[in-house]
Order: sequence, then structure tokens, then C-alpha cells
Amino acid sequence: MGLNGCSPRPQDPSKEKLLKASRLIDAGKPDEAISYLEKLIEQEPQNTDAKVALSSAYAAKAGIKVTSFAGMIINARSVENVMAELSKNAEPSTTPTGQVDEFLKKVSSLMSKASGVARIYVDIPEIRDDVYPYLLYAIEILEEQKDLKAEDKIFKVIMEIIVLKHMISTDLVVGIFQKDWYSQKCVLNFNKFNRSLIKTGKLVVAILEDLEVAHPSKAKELNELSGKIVSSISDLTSAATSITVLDEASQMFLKNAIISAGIGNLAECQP
Amino acid sequence: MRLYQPELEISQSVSRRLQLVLVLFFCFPNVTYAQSLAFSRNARTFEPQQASLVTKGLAFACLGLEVVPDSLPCQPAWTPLRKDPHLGVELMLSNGYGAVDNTRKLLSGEVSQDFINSLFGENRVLQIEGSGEIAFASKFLNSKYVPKNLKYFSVVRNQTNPDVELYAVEEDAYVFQSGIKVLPGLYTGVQVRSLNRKFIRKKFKLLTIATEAGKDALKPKTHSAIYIEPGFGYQLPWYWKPRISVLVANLGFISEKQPEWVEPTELQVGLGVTPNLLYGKLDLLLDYKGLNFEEDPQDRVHFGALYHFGAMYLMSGIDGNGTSGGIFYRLESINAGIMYSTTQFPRGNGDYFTQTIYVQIGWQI
Repeated sequence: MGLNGCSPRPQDPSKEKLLKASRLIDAGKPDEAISYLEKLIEQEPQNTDAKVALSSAYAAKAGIKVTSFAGMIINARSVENVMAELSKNAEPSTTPTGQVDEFLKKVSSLMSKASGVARIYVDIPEIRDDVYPYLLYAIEILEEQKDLKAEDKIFKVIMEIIVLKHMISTDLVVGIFQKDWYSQKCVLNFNKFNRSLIKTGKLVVAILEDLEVAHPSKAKELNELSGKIVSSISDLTSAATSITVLDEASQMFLKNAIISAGIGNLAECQP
Repeated sequence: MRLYQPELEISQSVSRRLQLVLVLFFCFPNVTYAQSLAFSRNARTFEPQQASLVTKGLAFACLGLEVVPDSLPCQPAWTPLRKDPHLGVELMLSNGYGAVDNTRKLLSGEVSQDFINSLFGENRVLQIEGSGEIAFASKFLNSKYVPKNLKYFSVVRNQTNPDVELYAVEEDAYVFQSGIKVLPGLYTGVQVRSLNRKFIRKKFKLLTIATEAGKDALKPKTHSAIYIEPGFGYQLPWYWKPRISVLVANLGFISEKQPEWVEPTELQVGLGVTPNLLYGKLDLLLDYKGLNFEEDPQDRVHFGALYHFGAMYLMSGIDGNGTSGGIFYRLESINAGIMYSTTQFPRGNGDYFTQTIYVQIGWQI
């Protein structure tokens, strides 16, 4: 009678609050978890664990479930593989059409690096456009925290890789030709491309910085790699700028060369 | 006619006070915060002791049980009460046995990608237990060898950024017991337990394993221990054979003290009565003992009931962490039993609970 009549024993209050949020997420109620955690954070603004939980609630709303690809993340070689992919260099051009070739090789190299990283984490799912903003907000919540633990940095890296995959398939292949509204001709315009390039580069650098925290013994190598990525992006934007003054025939040659290089999306004429 | 019956009034008053004490004993400690169970560190899932099917079925309320039909008595002092010698082999396995191989890999230090996927990929709560024992019991000496006792429990919460609580243990053990009758009704005895244990007992974020510092998160630890546990039992010469049993548990030495493994010396007390019921005997048992030694005081109270009718034993047990019940048959040379245990009742934690079926088969002479 005593056992039946007694209510469940109260737990440690802080753990119990986060446990409730976990239950709501597992029950497929991320909106309730978000609402609950936001109220908790209002009462306890310094509660980093609650903010990390809020980030995971938004990630849950974006459809992310780490348990479905946990084994791949925990693969001991994954960081080394990422570093290897990002360290691959493009071969320098020796042809007379050096500028165009150089540009194409650099673009191919960057896309190859980004695709290589995405390939390592092939089991990480694609994300739909309609829930993509929730994932971005989940990352933003973690970016605001100063003292994230290493495992929370890895969680941020996972979300950033999902964003990177999304960028590769949408932003990075934006065309470098744009229809001139006056002449209705497709002319070279690297504005969108450069913006996408810089955004992708920043994301890759953010991933490497987070990996530095999670893998301190590789921090120096990761930091050097970040520097190289920044240089690559910078070189590529310069290379892009240097070929904006091509004549019509050269632009056609560039278009054909892009298609031959297997990155035909870049040759599409943007409205 | 006597209108005032002082003996009856006193007895009713004592009875009411006892009822009140019992209710308060179970309800009052709800306001204490001795041990967080935020991750279902329920003593039924985290208890380290190897136990037979009947002992588990009784919710470990076995100190007052003179003869355990499928193993050695929990109280060594009851050794002289065994009428017939017994030599037997028992094998017990729970559901979820598919995880046995993964558990053994985990305890041998293999943490591969496939292994992680299998353990955490689909199931939020995984539990497996398996053990084997060879036991000899007589009026003077009991001994038991457990070549393997394997337990695993894990729970994963928040599939987006998972929190994991994991307990895996593999051990082998020797147990020796002896007891003598000191005075009419008074028995004393001693139990010596020697064991080797390999275990992982951890609460962590799953992604910790992907960090440099967390690479050893699932590295198993080992230790050996030897315990010398004295006990005594007193049986009143009344109808129903009421008896009290006291054991000093975990008194001994451990090779390496590890913070994850808590096994303090503990005074355990058991009460028992055995009324006749219909065509058989009913053992009603009440123990006060810890299972994982981290429980609140009220969770250390265990009730058990064992009805013995011919070759059949019906058992049932309840404590603050769970409920169990089962049936065990002991024929001439073979025995078999099945038992169900759940942590959902009496105080479940919503959807984070375990339900386990144990099956045991054995042979004895």
C-alpha cells in the first residue's frame, strides 16, 4: 500500500529538468522541448547545459538524429581523413591558357576538398530546405557559448558538416554567368560565386577550429590547414577576378572548359 | 461483559502505529535527494551481484530463506539446515541475448563503428544478463564456482545529441560457505567470496568518444576482490518458524579502488516466516540490503514470497526499484525456471524502464 501510494521519488532538480527536455525530443516534440528550455534559460541564463540542449532541440526540429550515424562519427580515423582531404593541392597550370586553366583547377580543387569531406561523412543525411534555418539557428546558439566542452564542439561540427553538404549541393555550384538585363547576354559575374566561396571557406575554417578544441594534439596541424584554406579561397577569388575581363570568345572557351571539367553547373546562366 | 479490553486496545494501537510507520517509511524519504536517478541508475539494472533465478525472482529478499532451491543460501549460517546434499549446474540467460557478443567485445576493448551502431543505433534501452554456476551444498560446507557472469545495460536519451548511461561487467567468482548450530535455533556461519571483475560503468555524452580526451571513455577497468562475510541466524521455535538473519556483506579487500565501483561493507538484515498454505509452504521474506549500494534507504527494503508445492516454486518480489515474478520447477535431476522482472513498477521513470525475461535451466544430483 505504501509503495503503491507514493509518488515517484524526486530527482536531482537540474538533471531532472534536462531529462524532461530529452524526453520531449525523443517523443518527437521538439517544439515543446524548445519552449520548455527557453523558459529554463530565462530563469537560469548561465546554464550552458540547457543552451546545448536547446541547440539539440532545434537540431531535432531540423530532423537530425546523431544516433543514426554515431558509428561513423566515432570512427577514429575520421579527423585524419578530413585533414588529408583538405590538404590535397591542385596542380599548377603550364598551358598557354594559364589563367583559365588555373582558375578551373583551383575551383575543381576546392570542390574536390569540400566533396571529399562530405564523402567521409556520407552517412550524415541531407537536410531539407524548409528545416535548414533551424539547423543554422542551432549552430548559432552554440557559437554564442564561450566554454563549450569538446563533445559539444563535435556536435557543432556535425551540424556544420550537414550545412557544408547542403552548401555544396546548392550554393557552391551557383553559376558564374549572369544574364545582363540590358543586352540579355550571359556575361561573367563572379559576385554570387565569390560570396558562396567565402561562405564555404568560413564554414570549413569553423569546422577546423572546432576540431582543434576536440583534438588538442592536432591543433597545430588543424590551424595550419585553416590558414591554407583561407589562402586557397583568397587565391581563388583573385583568380576569378583576374579572368573577368575575358572577351566573348574566351568566355565561350571558359564555358566549355567548365563543362569539360565536370562542374557544368558553374556554366549555367543565372537570371 | 467487559466493555474495556485493554489488551485489544494496546494491540490495535501498536498495529496502527506500525501501519503508520510503514507508510511513512516508504513515503517520507520521497523528500530526500540521496541519489539522482536521472539516468535510471536503478539498483535492479546496476546491481553487481551474481544471483540465481529464484533469488532475483524474490527481489533479492533471500536472507531469511533457509534453502534456495537453485543455488547456495544467501545466509551461510543456514548451512546446517540443508537436509540433502546437492550438486548442480545452472545456466541463466535473459532476453536481449543478441547483445552478448557485442558486450564481450566492449569489455575486451573493441569499440568499432559497427559495434557503436549496434549498441546505440536503434534501441534506447538495452539489457542483457547471462551467467553459469556450478554449486555444491551440504550440511557442513557449500561451494560455488561461477565461471562467467555477464551483465550489460545501456540507456540512450536525446537521439539528437545523445546522453548515454552504460554498465557492463564480466566476472568470475568462487564462493565457500560454512555454518554451525551454536544453540537451539541459533546458527552462525561465514561466507568467503573471491572474484575477478572487468567492467565499464559510465555516464557520458556519446560524442565524447569522438574527442581526443574521450577515446578511453569505454576502456574497461579490472579489479579482484576477496570478501569474508560472517552471519548469524536465529529461528524461533514457533509455528510459522519466524526467523531473523544478519549478514555483514562486502567485508574484505579489493585490489584497486575505483570511484565507479562502490561496494561498501554493509550490515544486511533479513526476516522470514513460513506458514503452511493449502498443500504447500509459503516463505514470506523481508530483507534490508543494498544492491548497488547507492540506493536511498527505502529502496533497500525488499519483499519476497516463495510458494513451494511439490516440485514447483512460485516466486514473487517487490522493492522500490522494481517488481519480479516467476516459476521454477525442480525435478529429480533437472530443473528449469522462467522469471519476469520490470523496473516500471512501482516507481517507473516514464518511458525509461526495463522489462526482462530470464530463463534458467539446470542439472543436479
